[in-house]
Amino acid sequence: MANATADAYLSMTSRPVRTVAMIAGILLAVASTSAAVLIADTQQAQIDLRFDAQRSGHVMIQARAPQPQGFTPEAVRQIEGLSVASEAGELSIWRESVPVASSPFTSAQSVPLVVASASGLEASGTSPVAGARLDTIDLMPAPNAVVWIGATLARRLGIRDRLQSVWIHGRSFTVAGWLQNDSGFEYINNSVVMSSATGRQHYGNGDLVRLLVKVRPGSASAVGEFAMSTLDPTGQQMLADVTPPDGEVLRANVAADVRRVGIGLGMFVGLVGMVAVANTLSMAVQQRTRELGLRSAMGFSRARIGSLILLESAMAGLVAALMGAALAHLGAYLWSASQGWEIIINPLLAPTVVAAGTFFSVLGGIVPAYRAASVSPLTAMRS
Amino acid sequence: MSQSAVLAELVDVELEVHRPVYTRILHPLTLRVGRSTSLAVVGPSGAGKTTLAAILGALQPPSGGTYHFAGANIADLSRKESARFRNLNIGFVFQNANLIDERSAWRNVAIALTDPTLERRAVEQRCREALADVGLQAIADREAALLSGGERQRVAIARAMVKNPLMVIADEPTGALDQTTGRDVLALLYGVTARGATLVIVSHDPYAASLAASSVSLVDGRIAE
Ligand SMILES: Nc1ncnc2c1ncn2[C@@H]1O[C@H](COP(=O)(O)OP(=O)(O)OP(=O)(O)O)[C@@H](O)[C@H]1O
Ligand SMILES: [Mg+2]
Repeated sequence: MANATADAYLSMTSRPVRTVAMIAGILLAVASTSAAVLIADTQQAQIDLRFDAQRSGHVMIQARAPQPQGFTPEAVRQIEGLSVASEAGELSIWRESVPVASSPFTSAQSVPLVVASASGLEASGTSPVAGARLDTIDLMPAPNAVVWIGATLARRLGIRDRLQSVWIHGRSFTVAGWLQNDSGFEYINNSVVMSSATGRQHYGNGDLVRLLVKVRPGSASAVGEFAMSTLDPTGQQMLADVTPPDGEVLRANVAADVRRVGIGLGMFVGLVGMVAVANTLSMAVQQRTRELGLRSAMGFSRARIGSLILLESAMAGLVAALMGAALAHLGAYLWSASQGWEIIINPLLAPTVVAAGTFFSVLGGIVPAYRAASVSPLTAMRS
Repeated sequence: MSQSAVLAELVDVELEVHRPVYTRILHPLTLRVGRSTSLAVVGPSGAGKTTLAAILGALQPPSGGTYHFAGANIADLSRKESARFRNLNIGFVFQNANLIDERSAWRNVAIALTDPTLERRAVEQRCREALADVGLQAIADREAALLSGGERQRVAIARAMVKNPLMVIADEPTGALDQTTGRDVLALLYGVTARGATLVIVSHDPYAASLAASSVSLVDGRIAE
């Protein structure tokens, strides 16, 4: 094997121009595939970063300190007044989990307790499917025991009639209506919702006090900044922009598309490269008929002469693929560096493309190898 | 010739080809070649000398008759078996030395050592020794393309002898050389019999043939008495 490898190595290095012509296609294929995948992955990471800030249709501001007074209505109105914002209102998770039952005797479900204003619910895309209109939530007189419940929770509790009561922590609340959300705030479907006044009356301060603003896509980060400074000019409430990353599906599709284009292109160039290997090796076999006949006369079997050519194609493919992969990694690295981006390298990429490049090259070597094996030992004598 | 002294024995060996047209290149012929001796094959152009050499060297299976080499039947070997047979037993020297131009002299000799289990160092050592035997130790590393005609032919002899074959077959080995160079090459070639090999030499040159212990003359594919 070592001798055969040395033999193939000699054949390749003694005809450098031919060898370069032979490996150029495979090199190009591996380089273009790797570069496309590397750049797709790296660029995708950048797109993701920006999307997280930009693509959201909502801004969510969360208080990291107790909010006994809630958000100032004046400030909320100012935010709503922005041309890129529409509704703004409270959508807090007052308690992560409270026990809710349809009667004092049935077993309870653990569900989130949400405190919201009508515009907060509206901003989240929540709509009433039965019962009172949404704006009645803001009109409740201060001491009351009225709640809205999510449609899923209603089903789970087996509630069919409007104005039936539910028991939370053993206390009875009147159900004013059912709510449904299909716009990214689906947890509402399985929550109990009450007004800010009702929540404070029964449970005191909330756990996650939040303001939700519906914004035009692309303006989320600007509105977030404005909202934080308007709601809390002195910085005492310790607000944070916790705008949710959504659009996961879109992100995955973009990444897959870019990669698919790159890999498709690479496969095509790879086929061209394979033809180049087949062509070059075929020509080489023709030029080397005398040598191959000589080897056959010297006692090389057909299998060994064939594998000589296959080994050459494998080595050429391996060298080309290694060079191509190195070139692509270097290129992608320099490009990312020039953009100030951190390159994302999939550790499986290099081994995969190197294996594929070698494989294509060997595939291209099959026909020439067969032709080489068919050279008669008599040609040594008659040439 | 006693039986143990016979290396190659052809009985009624013939060769016909059917393409492009039916041709009888060799008529049935019977021939015995001894061990450690030399045989010249002479005759006019087209008589079938190269064809006979090809059959002797197992490059070409005969279409009829039997061929025994060192007691084993060679005529019906498969392609793979005859490759192995050539590998073990036959060394070839051709009219044009048939070297790989881009490789050094010793690497050309190495082509003959096909055994993949041989260590590279051992291969190089043996090749250099074989070149020393033909007086070329000084140019072992020179690229074949740069060698003179006589040197090329001597490299070819080293290549034929590096495996210590039982038979060396040379087809017109001096055909491309001037007289003096040709004689040097002939001296080296005939020297192989002293090392236990049998030399079969095909030549037009009466002098080259006259050195052989025996000779066979072919005319139109038959042995002429
Ligand atoms: N495969 C083949 N098909 C048809 N004819 C062939 C084939 N091989 C050889 N011949 C013919 O057989 C005859 C003998 O050829 P061969 O090469 O053995 O002659 P030779 O004695 O070596 O001649 P020279 O001295 O010119 O080299 C020639 O007429 C040649 O054309
Ligand atoms: Mg001839």
